[in-house]
Amino acid sequence: MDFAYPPEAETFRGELRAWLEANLEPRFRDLGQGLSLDREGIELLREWNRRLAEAGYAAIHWPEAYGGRDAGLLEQVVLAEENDRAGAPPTLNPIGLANIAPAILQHGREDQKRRYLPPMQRGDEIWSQGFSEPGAGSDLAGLETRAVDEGDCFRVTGQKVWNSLGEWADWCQLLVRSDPDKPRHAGISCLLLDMKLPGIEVRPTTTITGESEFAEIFLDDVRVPKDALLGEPDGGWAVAMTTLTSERAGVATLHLGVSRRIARLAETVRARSTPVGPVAREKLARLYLHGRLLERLSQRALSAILSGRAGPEGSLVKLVWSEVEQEIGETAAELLGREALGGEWARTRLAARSYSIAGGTTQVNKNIVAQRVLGLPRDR
Amino acid sequence: MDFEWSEEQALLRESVARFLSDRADLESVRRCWGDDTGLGDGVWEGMCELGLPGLLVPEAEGGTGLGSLEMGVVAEELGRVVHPGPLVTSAFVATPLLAEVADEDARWEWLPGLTRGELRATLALEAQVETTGESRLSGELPLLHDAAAAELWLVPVGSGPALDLFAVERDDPGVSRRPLGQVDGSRRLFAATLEDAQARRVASGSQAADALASARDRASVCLTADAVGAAERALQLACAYALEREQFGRPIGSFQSIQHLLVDMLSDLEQVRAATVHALWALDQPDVQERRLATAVARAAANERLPRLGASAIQVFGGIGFTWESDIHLFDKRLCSAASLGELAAVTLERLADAVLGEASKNGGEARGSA
Repeated sequence: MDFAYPPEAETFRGELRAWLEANLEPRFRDLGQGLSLDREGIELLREWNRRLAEAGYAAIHWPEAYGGRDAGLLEQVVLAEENDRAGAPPTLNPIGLANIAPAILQHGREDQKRRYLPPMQRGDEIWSQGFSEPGAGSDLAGLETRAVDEGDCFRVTGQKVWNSLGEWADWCQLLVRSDPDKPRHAGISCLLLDMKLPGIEVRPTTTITGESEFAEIFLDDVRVPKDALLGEPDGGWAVAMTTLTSERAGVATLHLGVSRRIARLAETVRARSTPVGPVAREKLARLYLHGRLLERLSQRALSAILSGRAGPEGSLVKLVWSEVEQEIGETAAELLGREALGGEWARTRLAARSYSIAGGTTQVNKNIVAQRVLGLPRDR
Repeated sequence: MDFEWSEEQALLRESVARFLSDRADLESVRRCWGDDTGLGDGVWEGMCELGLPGLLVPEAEGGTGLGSLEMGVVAEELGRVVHPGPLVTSAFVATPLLAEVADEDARWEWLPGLTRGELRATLALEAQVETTGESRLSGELPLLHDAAAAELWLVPVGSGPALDLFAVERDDPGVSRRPLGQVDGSRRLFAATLEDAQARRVASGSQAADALASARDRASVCLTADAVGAAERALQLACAYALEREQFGRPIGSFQSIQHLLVDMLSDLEQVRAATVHALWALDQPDVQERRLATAVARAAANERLPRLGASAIQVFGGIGFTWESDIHLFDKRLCSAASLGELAAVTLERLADAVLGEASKNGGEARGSA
């Protein structure tokens, strides 16, 4: 038991911190919070992304052969901590780097790795994910976007929803139904879709925050070359699972944003009213407690992965995180009143509504934890 | 970043768990429910054979010389069987305090007996007492754990640099005790009155005050670790019952409403566990502020989450869970009493409010001042 980081991780932290101090100019700082960006914002973010890539910090968990550092989990956590500390903007390709690249690395051909990974790392090409559909949300295997093998190409028709960055994406990791006669999970393929192909229409989805960080993709008889296939034909479910389970560093770093927001809320409340009243003090104390508990749970999840222990923490982190994020928004509303009707705190509150939906709803996650961790039978 | 128990710690857990399930199961807890000492039939002697009373005493003094993490391992296991005996009180709170600061004479007289378990001690966590003449104390001790089982009582008088730590004997004619009216028969809680009781000063000054603060934190985290063990067992019992109990032709554990309730319990348990293990680790770290904050976080977590976990466990059992015959209420009572003992829950929250608002905590300030 030791909560200190090993010396290698601290050495990496020192180098990275010095690099961030030298390179993170004010114009990059706090850019792209919430990923609601205009073209100018995208280009600025791209410039930052290239700097990261040139210094070898854009995708440290990738193999060295593809521009990474073969970094372990702890270094990824250190990277997230230092980025958070310095106020560095997010990468332009969060889903590409953390979720799609591992699938390409595991299931892709060598030519696919060489073609797609370098520009993804530099942010030269933006990636989105085409998984969810109007009729396939929590039940992803119910997807119906159809790909018909035409010999020289797949002809793809269907609709995808909730594509992060869809509006700006150059490429899309697309799940399609390639064989409707096979059992649901066995008839799915994964395609790396060029978003410039004819027949693709992208419509931004305006969310309740008024922003358009997602898009819908309409595919109408799109002729996708055969070599766009990632993994085996009808082997798309395995690719999707790699994608959905690969973001291991994510569980260990979710608490960073939470801690920062809680500290800022406390500062804001204190600046508005001195002394802070007893009810507000209790609200803030509990919020602080919940933030610390999330941090401890994340650390235990990280430790479980590092030591190879099978523990329930990883499955719980996302559930707990969404609860605390939502509590921040509600507490801000209670303690700041009309000031929280607009601006940062209103956005925090509204955005948090999605945290118990995106990436697996709380209800489905609880079913999964009940069955896999507690060993309870499936509902029928 | 290593949040894992070591192999030695796992072995310790295994041997304590085996002993407790053989010798101190729930039947034995029921047999001595609400009695004076909770010593059980030979259970204390068995613990002495395992060397548990000297767990935290340095090897040079005849103990095992282990640390707070090992203490936490044992406390969790005690919680799993809602153990009624005085081990935590004597071995994990009072004895290490004596070992840390008591003068040479007191150590020579009492430490060997405490380490071997031939003698037991308790620390008055609250004391409204003053000295009456040389080596005499009078006043009230509103809360004493295991006062009937412990022959030796440690009583603090004053605070900070003016603190004196006295030892009083249970059987002194100036000492009287009475059990506190409370529903958790797995604990032995007393109040006591001292009337010109014979007392011996065993330590004094800032060093004693620091050691006392550290003993209080240790008591606090022990209470929480014990509750984590009890909560874990309560969740296991509730899951087992949900699998076995059938209604509408299927196990109630197949209903999503029950599943989600159990997952909420798991989530609460794992959060409290993570905070508690961190606090156990922090107890042995040199940073006093960090130790105090980690203790407060663990306590506040247990206070907020575990009584509701106990209530949910009874909810899963339904009507049978409301009967004396079912074991689940033993755990609910243990979890609720844990939240009502030690620092007042509201005071712990005040400390967290100070932490989040960045003010110097009053209690933290005292600890700093005397450190």
